[in-house]
Amino acid sequence: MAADIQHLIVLMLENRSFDCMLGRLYPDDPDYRGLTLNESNPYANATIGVWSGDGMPTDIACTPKPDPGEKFKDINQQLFGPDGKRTRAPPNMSGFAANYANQPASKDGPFAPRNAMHFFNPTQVPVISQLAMAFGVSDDWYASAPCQTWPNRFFAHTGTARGHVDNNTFLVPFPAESIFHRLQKAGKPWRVYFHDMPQSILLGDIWLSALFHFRRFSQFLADAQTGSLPNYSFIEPRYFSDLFLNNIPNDEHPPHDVTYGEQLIAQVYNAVRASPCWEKTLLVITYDEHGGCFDHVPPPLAASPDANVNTDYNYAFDTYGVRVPAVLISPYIKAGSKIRPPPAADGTERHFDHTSIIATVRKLFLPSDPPLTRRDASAPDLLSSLNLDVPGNEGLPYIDSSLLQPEPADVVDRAQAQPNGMQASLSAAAAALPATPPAIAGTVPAPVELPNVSYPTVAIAHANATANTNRFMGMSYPDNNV
Amino acid sequence: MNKPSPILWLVCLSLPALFAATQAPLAAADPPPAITFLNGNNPGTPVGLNETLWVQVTNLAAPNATIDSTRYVLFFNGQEVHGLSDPLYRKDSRSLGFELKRNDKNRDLWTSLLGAPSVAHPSVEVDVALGEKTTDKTAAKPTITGANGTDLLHLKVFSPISLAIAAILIVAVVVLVVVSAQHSTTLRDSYLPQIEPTKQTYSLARCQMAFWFVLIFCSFIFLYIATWDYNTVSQQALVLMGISGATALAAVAVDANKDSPADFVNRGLRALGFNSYDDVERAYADIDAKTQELKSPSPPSAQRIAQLTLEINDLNNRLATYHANIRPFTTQGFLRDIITDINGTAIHRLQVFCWTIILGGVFIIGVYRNLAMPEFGGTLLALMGISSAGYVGFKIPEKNN
Repeated sequence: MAADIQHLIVLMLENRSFDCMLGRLYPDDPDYRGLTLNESNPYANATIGVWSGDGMPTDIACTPKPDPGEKFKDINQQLFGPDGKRTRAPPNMSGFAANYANQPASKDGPFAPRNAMHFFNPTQVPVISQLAMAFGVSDDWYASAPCQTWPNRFFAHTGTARGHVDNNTFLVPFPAESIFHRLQKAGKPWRVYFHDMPQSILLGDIWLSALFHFRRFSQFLADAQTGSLPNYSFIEPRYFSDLFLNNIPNDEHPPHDVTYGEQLIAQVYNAVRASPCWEKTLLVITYDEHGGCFDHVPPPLAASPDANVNTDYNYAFDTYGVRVPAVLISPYIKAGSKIRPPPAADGTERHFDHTSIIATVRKLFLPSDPPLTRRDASAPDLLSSLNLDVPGNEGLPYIDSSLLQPEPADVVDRAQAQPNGMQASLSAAAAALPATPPAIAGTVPAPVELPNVSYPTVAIAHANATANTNRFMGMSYPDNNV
Repeated sequence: MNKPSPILWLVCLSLPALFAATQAPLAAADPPPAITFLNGNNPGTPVGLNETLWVQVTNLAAPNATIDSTRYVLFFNGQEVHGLSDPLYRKDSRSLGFELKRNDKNRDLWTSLLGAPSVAHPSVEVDVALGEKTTDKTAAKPTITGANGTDLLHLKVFSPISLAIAAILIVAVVVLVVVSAQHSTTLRDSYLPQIEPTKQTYSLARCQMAFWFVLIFCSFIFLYIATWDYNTVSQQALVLMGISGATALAAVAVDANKDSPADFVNRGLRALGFNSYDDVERAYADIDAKTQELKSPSPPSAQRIAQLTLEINDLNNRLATYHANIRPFTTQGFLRDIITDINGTAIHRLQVFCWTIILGGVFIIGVYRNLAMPEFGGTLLALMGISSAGYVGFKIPEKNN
């Protein structure tokens, strides 16, 4: 009997590689493509091995600190070595330490090369580790492109980055058809649940209906409780520190404390697990890109989504990015599942990437819709992970996420920091949002370049991002339940 | 034993009569003394406290005779006015002068005469009588009275001038406190210095302290004007002021020692460059200046326009964030501010408010009716103290919005 999935929920966190979060989940399983602890990178005639540290003090939870480089050029150096020259051959994943050490100076401290080689033991990230073991984990899920956050998040929504490899070159709104738009046209319910500013609000094709589909995270908890989750839910974490609500980012973007991301994962899981929707739900927890954190598996080749080629780097988006963690949760998934996509009909190997989400949405809710791009057309959907005929895996009834309250000093520290790439780009994009969404079809403004704004601190970037977003969406702020 | 002689008997029997003849004002055949006229320092005007009441008495003594005026005491409405100085005596007008002073010995009498004053009745009618001190410690009796209303005194309850001065002083203090409360942070919390003073929330503890200050101050002025007695502040009034002051101090200490949402907002606003309300005003001024530049007759370059637009947007966003976050900390009106917390009406605040109002009312009535600050019993004061202590205790977990 086919699994009856009526609710697909995706929680996409930020900038952690598979090895960083789940590399040591099954250390004794040779088939699990995790860390053996023999992995290393060369740097300055030395060999820097992977390491995890003891316990989970804040400095470990925030590793790597400062934020690694994550632009296309950085990622090429991380994958192919110091010259960063791309080839069709698989990269040797040897430049993480060197690229990290060569980053421009940061207010967050020195770039010690070993920080890029850090990973978390399962005991250090117990929430995602427990869920991965209680349900399924994929060691074969890649970022859609070796690019920064925005290209990968747009791949998750539209199946393409339309030639952009870095955040700051995008136009606002992003002019590509999204899976949300498809759902909208088909009358299928969907929602984006967000904390401060949803990156997905930059999708121009949903501006007409944005007001009806974007809700704060507190609404997700309420919807889960009442069993009114839509067919497709996409959850965005908190990207900014919020001094007013004493909130710290829970996106896990380095150097943000992963503990708060763990809390968010637990909140989402607990809400879904206790929801009347549980037995018809597939929850996917993944990360947009590796963010400069070491992973030892070379990204394979991928299908180019469209004809867009990045001319600066002559890149046709024909390779995946670095592996990212992916945990799949459903009562239809056996405990301890290690999930890889089945090969294509012609026997060729396939891999999960963010467009697998689109493929899954299409298969579940839009079976007659064509693909958005060639990439999602070739992407394996996630339904192969549902390896139980009946919803028999009850999993963990509840995960104690020990909801920490951040120390005000930590929040101040993050709020006074220089914005990271994601934060800077989001706040700049927010400045390009119109005062209100277009009300009539055909009146969506033409895409414009990101305004040339540079906010000195996260606090000011946050104020601008949230104020512009709330004005655009007619929402009030602050919301104590975000 | 020999019988006394008749002459000795005669002498013995006549001695009391002789003694009485030397002491009596007039021969037994003369009419008894009577009050014939009452007057103050200013003829024709009523007499009030701290003025001299002249009582003209006929037949008190022979013209130009010397009398012992210290023997006479004054009666109002049949009650002896204790504690007055010995009266003076004017031979020419045959009058005894009594300085009307209020003191501990006659406070109750004055209270009964002057208490509960009314503007419609600036004076009260009092029957005046005189009596003679006794030598055997028995109470004197009002033996010298008048006839045909000659012993009727118009006793001033208050003088219009004094009343006006008192009213001006009281109104001035009340206005000062009210205006200060409205336009400054005197009676308001100042959790966030970034909020305009007139929009800060009212503080229950400070308002309570101001309430008792105004009440006691005005009572003091009223009593001083009415009685010219400056020893009117009772111990209980001091205790009430002490309780309210201690409550305010404790409330400030509690607020200072807890990490409240206001602290978070304060940190957030400071991170946006708003350290005080001046910074907020400066941001508005910046927006105005940049807007004016955009509208100037010689338009700036396109690059400058874009920059100005972004800067204005940035300032507006900071201000929008400012307004969104200060909202819970701005006043919702006096009553709501002082009796509510984040969860709505708070019982610990409501009870302090109610008991303060009730005791305040009792205090005012007491001052008005008794011309003295009330002597609250220990139970009532304990009630107020417990109420205030409860408020401070419950304030510890209370969030500052």
